[in-house]
Amino acid sequence: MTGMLDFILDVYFYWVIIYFIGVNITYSILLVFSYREIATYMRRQALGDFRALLQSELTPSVSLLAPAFNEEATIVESIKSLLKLNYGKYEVVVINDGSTDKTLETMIGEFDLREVRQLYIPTLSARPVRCIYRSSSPEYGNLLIVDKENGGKADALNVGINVSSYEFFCAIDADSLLEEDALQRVVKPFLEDERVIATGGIVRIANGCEIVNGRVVSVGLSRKLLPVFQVVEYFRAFLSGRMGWQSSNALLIISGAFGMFRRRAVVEAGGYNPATVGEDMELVARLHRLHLERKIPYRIVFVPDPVCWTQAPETLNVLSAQRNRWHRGLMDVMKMHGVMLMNRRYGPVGRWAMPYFFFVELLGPVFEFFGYASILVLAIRGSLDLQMVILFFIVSLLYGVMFSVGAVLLEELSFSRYPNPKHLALLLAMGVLENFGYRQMTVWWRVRSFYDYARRKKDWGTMTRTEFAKAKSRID
Amino acid sequence: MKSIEFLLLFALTTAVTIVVVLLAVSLVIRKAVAVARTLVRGKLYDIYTEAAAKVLLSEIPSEVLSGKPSELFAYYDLLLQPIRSDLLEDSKAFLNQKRATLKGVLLDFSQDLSGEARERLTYCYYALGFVDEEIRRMRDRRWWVRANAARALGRYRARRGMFVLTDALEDKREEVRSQAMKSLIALAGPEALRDILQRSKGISRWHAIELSAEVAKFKAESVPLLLEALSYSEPSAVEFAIEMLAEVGFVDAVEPIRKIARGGVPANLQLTAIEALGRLGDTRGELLLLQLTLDPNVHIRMKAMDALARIGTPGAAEFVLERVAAGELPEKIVAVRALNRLGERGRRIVRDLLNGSVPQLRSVAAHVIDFAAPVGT
Repeated sequence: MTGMLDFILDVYFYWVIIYFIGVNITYSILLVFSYREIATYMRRQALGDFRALLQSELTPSVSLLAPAFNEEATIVESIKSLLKLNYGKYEVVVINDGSTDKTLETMIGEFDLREVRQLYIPTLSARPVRCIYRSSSPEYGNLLIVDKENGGKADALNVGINVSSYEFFCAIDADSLLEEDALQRVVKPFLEDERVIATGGIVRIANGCEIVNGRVVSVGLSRKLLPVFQVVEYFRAFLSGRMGWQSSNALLIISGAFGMFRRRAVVEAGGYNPATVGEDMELVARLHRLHLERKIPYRIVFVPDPVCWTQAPETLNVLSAQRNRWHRGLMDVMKMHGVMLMNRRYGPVGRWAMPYFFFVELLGPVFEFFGYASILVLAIRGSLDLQMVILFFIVSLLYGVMFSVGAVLLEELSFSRYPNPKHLALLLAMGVLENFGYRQMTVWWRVRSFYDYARRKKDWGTMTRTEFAKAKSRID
Repeated sequence: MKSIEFLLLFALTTAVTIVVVLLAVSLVIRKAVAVARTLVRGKLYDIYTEAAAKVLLSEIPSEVLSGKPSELFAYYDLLLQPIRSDLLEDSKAFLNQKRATLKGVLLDFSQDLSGEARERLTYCYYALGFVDEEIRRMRDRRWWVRANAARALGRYRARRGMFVLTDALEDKREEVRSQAMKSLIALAGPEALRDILQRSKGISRWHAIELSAEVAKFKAESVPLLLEALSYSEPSAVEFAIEMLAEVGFVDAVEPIRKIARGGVPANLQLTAIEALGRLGDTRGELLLLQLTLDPNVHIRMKAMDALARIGTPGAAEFVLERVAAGELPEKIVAVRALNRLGERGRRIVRDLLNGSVPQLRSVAAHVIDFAAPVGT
């Protein structure tokens, strides 16, 4: 029995080393691709002039879809900010997904809403619509509020797509803030290339930023540790992850907080899937799958500088619920679209992106968790090679630091949103610190999500929102 | 065995440490260089702003101004002498920074200059070698160098660059073609449209939007060239010309656009032409549009009804009403919306539908009435 356990631990040890090397090679390749993509993007941006987009009659109109569930604290500020975007013709469609607080009443009062007899064509099936409102005030002429029965974010977005009138729709979170020119930047790839069916913008952490009238006027970092850890995490995910994947048209995620889609393509794909908590990734995976199966040329693009600012969780409870949900969403996607995994028919998506998300993102926490567990077992049995463990920890720490520093460098080379050298130094320090505790916590939350998934848990967890203007705790 | 593993891990640790240190150091160096460059650029900017102001804003004796161009150029050269001698000194790297800053200063001046001062500025670009430098860069292997050079030639108003810019309209990179197009319009005005529309292949929507903003500045001057483009073989050029003629509102374009709207062309071109007939609002398009409400293609029928509504042809109500009865829901909506815009007769029909016995049509009519009403009523 003891011999068997030793054998298993030995095999596991070698597996971990091989896995570790494989994962870090993948990260390195992604980082290199991202550098190349961002360099090209920056060169193109230097030539870009968006004035024509604001002046021309040929600029396409856009529907902005914002599902809202119990957002009474931030909804007015968010809508006002959405109505002030710098773009030609666009409509803001807020879908009240059966909120149980005063979200609808707040909107009715603030925007002077009246009921309209809009013909509702349920192109995509969704929970019933109760009522559609428009504002009586010309100031809010492009605002449409849809009140519907609760059905979740995906269901609300499907209603938004049914109600929307334009060729493109942009799905955003009602509690996020878009930068003034975000729509211009995110629509551009559609205009440059008819094959583009979806684009995603970058999501940045608003905690610690100074926000006035729904606009981020000064970028900063929160005094709390958790949001700052997430800033570095978001750099890695967006700048070095998504940018790298889009270079081979294998981008599998467009954040639900900010993504633009060609309406026709999404309707043909059947809209958002309400049966998953990872509806954003699932839609993108399905779009890939359908286009590849039907051999229709298409592109899905990540645009790294139209910014959507969001409030990151500041407490462990909320953060753990968020990560748990993200991981369950990933499991759903792998289950629903597993046919693409390592399948050459699906091009780079099947050969590279799906295996990456399966082996690295989905199973990575499990391997890491069992790694820690095996150290514990070895220590108990008194056969722990401490020198080896320390060395392995150092090398994994250094790799973690390398990718964090690489992502911060990428940000500094390109967009430099954190001009204060103090902020930059702090972000670098967080790249080291996150390996002591924070990383292990995220591993545990993600491992626990397997248990919740097996229990068919489908809830989103609750995110406590504060008014943006009140979230002032920042490092100056 | 364990020692091999140890060595492997040790080697990995060392390698990654080196990379991490290099990355961190490069980050610090980059930040420091950026700060230093900003400081130097700021100082240089001030120096060259003063020097350029002396060149561009100083009074020129009237006898020189009214004399031969060669005398005027000699005078410009005299004014430029201090800047030229300054550019002869220093290392190559610093010289490049100086030249880049000087270019920036001159471009900033170009926003506010006109008349003789603007010509003086263009002379500066030539005399300091900036124009020839950009023409050379137009042959560079890297697309971004070519695109920046194309943009610069337009900003310099350097007509010497027109040949290379015209060739660049067929560059394999859209970014270069786009900059060349804008620069050619800056240099040659609407006349450049002929080359642009003749030589451009597959104009993207982005390209068309950029071009439309430029063409909109010329309005009537661009009309003959746009009319000419209606006969080009490149569908995207024809589509662009139709859109622009509709935007400019040149009603004499109705006849050639009507020919395209009749059909026998790619479907999207036909749809654009039908829409343009509506936007132009001329009654000469009515008969064809009425016929097109019976077209087998639903998209063409819907566009035709919308165009008739824009023109406001009261006689169209009967044709459109037929589609209300026969069409699928999306077509019914377009038809009822069109009826609502077709004078009192059309609005009466919509009111009748609202009070009629068909629930779907009642909903459509209510929807159209509610959304046609201006906000606030």
